[in-house]
Amino acid sequence: MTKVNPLRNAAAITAVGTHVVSLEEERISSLELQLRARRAAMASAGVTRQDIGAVFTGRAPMSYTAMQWNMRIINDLKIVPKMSTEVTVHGAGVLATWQYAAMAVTNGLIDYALCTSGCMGNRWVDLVEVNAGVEADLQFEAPYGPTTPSLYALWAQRYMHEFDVRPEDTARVAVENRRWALHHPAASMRHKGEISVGDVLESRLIASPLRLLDCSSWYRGGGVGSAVIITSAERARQSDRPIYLTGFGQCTTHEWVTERMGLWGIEPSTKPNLVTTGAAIAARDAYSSSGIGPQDVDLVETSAPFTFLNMMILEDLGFCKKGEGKDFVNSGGIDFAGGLPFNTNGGYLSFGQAANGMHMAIEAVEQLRGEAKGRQVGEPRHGLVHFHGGPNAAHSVAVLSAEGAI
Amino acid sequence: MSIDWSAGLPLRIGNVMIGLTETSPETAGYWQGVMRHELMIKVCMHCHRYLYPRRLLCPECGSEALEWLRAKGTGTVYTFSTVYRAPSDDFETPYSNGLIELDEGVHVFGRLIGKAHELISIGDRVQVEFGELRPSGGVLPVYRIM
Repeated sequence: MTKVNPLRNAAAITAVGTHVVSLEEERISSLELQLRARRAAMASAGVTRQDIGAVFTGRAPMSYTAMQWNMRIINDLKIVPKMSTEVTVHGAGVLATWQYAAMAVTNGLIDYALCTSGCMGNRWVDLVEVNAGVEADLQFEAPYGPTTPSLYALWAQRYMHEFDVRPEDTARVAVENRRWALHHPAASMRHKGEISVGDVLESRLIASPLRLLDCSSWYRGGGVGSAVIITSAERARQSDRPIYLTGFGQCTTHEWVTERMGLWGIEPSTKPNLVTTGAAIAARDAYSSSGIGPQDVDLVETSAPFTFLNMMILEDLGFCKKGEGKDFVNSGGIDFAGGLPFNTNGGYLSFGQAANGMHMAIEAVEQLRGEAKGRQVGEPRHGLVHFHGGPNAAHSVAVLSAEGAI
Repeated sequence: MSIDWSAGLPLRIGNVMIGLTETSPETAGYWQGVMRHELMIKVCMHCHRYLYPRRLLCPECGSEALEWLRAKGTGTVYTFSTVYRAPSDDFETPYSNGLIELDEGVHVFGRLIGKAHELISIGDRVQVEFGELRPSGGVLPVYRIM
């Protein structure tokens, strides 16, 4: 008999908070952005600072460099957590905060956890320059002038070579993500309207084989701050439409892309390669811990920031076999009309990359609650969320379930 | 001149020095090799595996007995990208960087030269050279496509 994972549906999200700063608004600090999102979440959950037992944050924002970012948050909120940390597996850490929060409330160590992320970096610094320094090995890569897209392009070039993927295949991801963005009021690229495969292929080269429209945009206005309150399923039942945390998986393989090629003898890199990712391992664990499979998933949100990577991730999340992502996408697999609901706010490509992206996970919560006005995907039961960070280095996957589905 | 990274570089916030970037005496031999125009990798004296210059111990057998070895300097392009949007104006675009599988089996990152950018292919054979790359201000290994 299979042992049921004790975390399965044992914790839930009872409230979310979002604060968006649009292009027209004055810039604020990343700290203020997160604190405003936090206030909305706590008010919605009806909890006070005295109720919060744990604070988990994503990594420090790029325009508010601080070691131990979680300390800045509690410093301002005057919360006295029993456990607190910045979860720094790059962008994957933001979703991992939900896993640690679930573990803490399930063990009865605390009653309520606050998880928060958000960055106003786009309005304060040149993120292209800054990010290259964060993403590359300062000693052995940075002196050659890599950019973040050019490091991911190393994966793209090899993946497309091995599986005979053409730029027009990956372009379709951008086209379908854009269609979703047109229905989200805060999506970065909404004002640009629809795009075609031709538009993607004719956009300027950024780092071959990636063109402008193959790449995510930094959130246009500057920032989206996000926060959630997580508590035990028992407590959550007293709240309105809690969303249950059903399963989790994480997998981190490297710090720099060159070091990934120095990884052997362990999944997903039994032999050095740039075509498998930790997402496959994280997804396998998320499915086994949740007891559901890809066929049960009603919507998928991912923080994959490039067209080709969305395709790889669809493979690694189990929606098609390795190397068949192009066939899945080309046969309408993620079409806005009739396909698997995928990046239903436009994703990193067309909603925009805001910090390390808790907004993508909150999109899944809103969908599962039936609150995604104008883009609601029927009555979904299970949502799959994938976060990633580093140069395809760290992956986290969560299965979320609506109240009626557990 | 070559930049010796192994002692770390000062990390400043305004006028305040807040620490050093990674000090790494274990990579000093690599940068000394660059000064001599030799590409150095490590080798495990216990299991004889060739290793990336950063390694402090052998992940395979756990041995700390690693020694520097001069690589032949030849290899194959595993993947690459031509950069059209540089991290700053200091870099003149386009330029191509790639991951090279050295004939010893170790993978390194570096600049690809000697072939039109649009003609570079996975599988191209390369030979290391040493050149001063702007704006790094120092000599670095670069890889000429043969």
